[in-house]
Amino acid sequence: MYKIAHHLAWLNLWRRKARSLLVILMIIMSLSGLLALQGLYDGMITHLINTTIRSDSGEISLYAKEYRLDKSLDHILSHVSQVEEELSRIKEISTYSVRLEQEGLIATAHKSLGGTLKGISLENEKSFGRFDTFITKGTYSFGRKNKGALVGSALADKLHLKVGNRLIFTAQDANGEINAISFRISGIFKTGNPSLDENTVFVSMENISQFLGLTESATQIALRIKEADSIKKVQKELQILFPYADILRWDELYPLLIQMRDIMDIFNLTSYAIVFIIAALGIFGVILVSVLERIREFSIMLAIGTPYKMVRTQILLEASFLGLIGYIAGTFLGWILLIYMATAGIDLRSFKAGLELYGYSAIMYADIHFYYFFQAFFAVFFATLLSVLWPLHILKRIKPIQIIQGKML
Amino acid sequence: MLLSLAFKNITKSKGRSVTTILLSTIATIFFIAYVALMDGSHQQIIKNSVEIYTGYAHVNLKGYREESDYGHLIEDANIIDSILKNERAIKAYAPRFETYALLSAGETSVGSMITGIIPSAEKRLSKLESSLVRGRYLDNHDTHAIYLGNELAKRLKVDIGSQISLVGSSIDYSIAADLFTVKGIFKTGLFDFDAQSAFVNKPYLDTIMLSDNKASYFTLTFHDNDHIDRATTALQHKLPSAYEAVNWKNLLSALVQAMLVDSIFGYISISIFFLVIFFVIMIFSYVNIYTRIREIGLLRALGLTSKDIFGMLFAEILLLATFSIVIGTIIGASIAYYYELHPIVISGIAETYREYGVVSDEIPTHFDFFTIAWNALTIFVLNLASIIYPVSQINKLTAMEAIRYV
Repeated sequence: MYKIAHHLAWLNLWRRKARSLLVILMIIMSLSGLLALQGLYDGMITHLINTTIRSDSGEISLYAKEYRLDKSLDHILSHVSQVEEELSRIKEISTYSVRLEQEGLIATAHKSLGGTLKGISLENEKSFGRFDTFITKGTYSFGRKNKGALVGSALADKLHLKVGNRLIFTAQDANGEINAISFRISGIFKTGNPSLDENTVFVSMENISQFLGLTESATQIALRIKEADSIKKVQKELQILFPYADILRWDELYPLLIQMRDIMDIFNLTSYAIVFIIAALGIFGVILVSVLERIREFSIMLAIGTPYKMVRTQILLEASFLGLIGYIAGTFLGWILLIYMATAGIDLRSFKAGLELYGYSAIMYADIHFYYFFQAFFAVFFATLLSVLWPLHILKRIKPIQIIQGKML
Repeated sequence: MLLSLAFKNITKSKGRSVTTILLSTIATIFFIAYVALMDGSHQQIIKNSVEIYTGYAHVNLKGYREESDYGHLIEDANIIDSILKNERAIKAYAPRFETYALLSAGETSVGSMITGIIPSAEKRLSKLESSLVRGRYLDNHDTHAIYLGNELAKRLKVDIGSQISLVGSSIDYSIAADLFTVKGIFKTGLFDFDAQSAFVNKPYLDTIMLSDNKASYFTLTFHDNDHIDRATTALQHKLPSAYEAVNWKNLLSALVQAMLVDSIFGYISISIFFLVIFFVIMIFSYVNIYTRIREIGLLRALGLTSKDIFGMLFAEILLLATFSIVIGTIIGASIAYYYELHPIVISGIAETYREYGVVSDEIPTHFDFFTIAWNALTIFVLNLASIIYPVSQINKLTAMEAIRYV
């Protein structure tokens, strides 16, 4: 019985080819568009999160208590080597970076700007977030005598700095004395993280420690965790090990990123809901007319003893075929679009300044997740189901003999 | 006759008519309200940046915007002052001297932007005075007084009456240093600005920086800022060739571009809704026309040409679209107008998105006749376009084929 219903549904679908194709085209266009947008928007947020984790927070960061509220050298992590020893014992931590920073005035011979001097270890930053890949000019080094500096690209632009130029950093040291130190620029970096690119000069840990009159000190220790599932576990472990420190996950340090991701998820779901409720209306129009056109045919089937169940199955299958063909073609097209956007990206370099103002990359890459296609399937499935409810209700109500006799519904 | 036939068909095919009217009306309302909200929020962000500090236009030495160093200062500010004074289109103007220096208080020091302003003139040009939260605003006779952003005050751990030392570089590149007392603290809501800016009475700062009769630029506002391109071009003609007049569109070009990109993404997102609505209207029109195919065949047999049939079907969609777009536009425009006067308030949004230049929890819509007109016209054209395919299909059939169509 199911086989006959299946066969009839398939044949009926192509009885009015143009009509069916219009519905399929509608599903293909809306589905592929939604998939492409979902991937692109997710890709934009993922880029922001990855950039932030790679260049700054890691999955977890340690700060001295109160440092984040009051960025003074009174609130720093001390005895760093002991902390490092403890960290090396935690197997979930893949790598970490110890940083020491101080705010001050960055000056050239002609101009000065407020900024931050940050001490790092080049080797650690390389394994931490592949910082060497952020270098756009010069080399990933602090020069032959380890006295060089890496400057953010936006800061370099503002100060008209080039590789080989000198800059002077003036700030208060740990004793409250105002000191100045000069560096030769060995490289210019661009992370995509505006706070780093616009304000920060990286120098060696030894240099900044000496300048500030500190030893074994850090303002931040950022950690990379091997598995995302173990982040919270490691955080708890660290909170017990270092009760004197603030142990914060990246999403606690940058709650705005999580909010943006949540808003994007809500936006995507709402888009699917609205688009497919409207699409259901289109499928409904076609199925309803298809049922009404064949109402005598269905009446005869019912009158000669065909169970209503079979007629219902046939209608359901007709709608499902429409949905399924649309889904397969739509996800295929959407997948191709996603693959293209994930590999070649969307080149928006003509809007570079505007995008970089908020930390977005001028070439945007899409994300591709398996769940996109599940989500799309459920949207098409529910739209199809919704569209047949009323036509089936009409069929259930009809009096077959009266219809055969030509009486109206 | 065609119009009356079209009208009869509309009333006869209630399902199709109601669906088309509903979808078109909802699409029109949605489009107008969405664009009004998007434009409103963008304009709000730009307006805040312009009015809080930047100003509607600047006059500076050519090259200052790129270099912004002491080598590109206005060397004789009095000349520019006298030109601006005689320019009728200008409502208010004032010179500013911007530099960066290290501000220190106790054991904390922060590199900050220090700006010399004419306090009385700034009242008409920026929101510095109205952003005061503690203490008092600067006056034209202040000497050692400094006016700080609240975030900068927090970073320096200072309050009204605290002493701050300034170490910077004067325009001859010698060291400039002085002690200031915090007279006032302001909060504009622009987080970066509040965290980095400090203001001093310009005549006094000039004595420290040796910048008497010099300025980084003049900030100004026109009587009619709605036609700022025209006003800026007119002003440019009156300036010496070494100077340039630049309006906010160039001064905040990155922000303007960011808003443009956001708008483009907004339009791309909303286009999917319209695409599906377009298809649904087309499907309903197609289904409706094909259920009337015999009737259409009969009309053709009675002597109506395919042009007449097109005219009749076009008149149907024209009537439906006009009705729904008029209703949709009235409702959509009312929403845009109402929320422009009474902005939507989302508590906490300014705090959450402060890094993105959001300074208020209020999000106004932007009511603009031209924008509303093109929004409505887009939906109208979509409606009309939806009929092209069904009509072209039906006109391919001869009268007999249509009558015999099964």
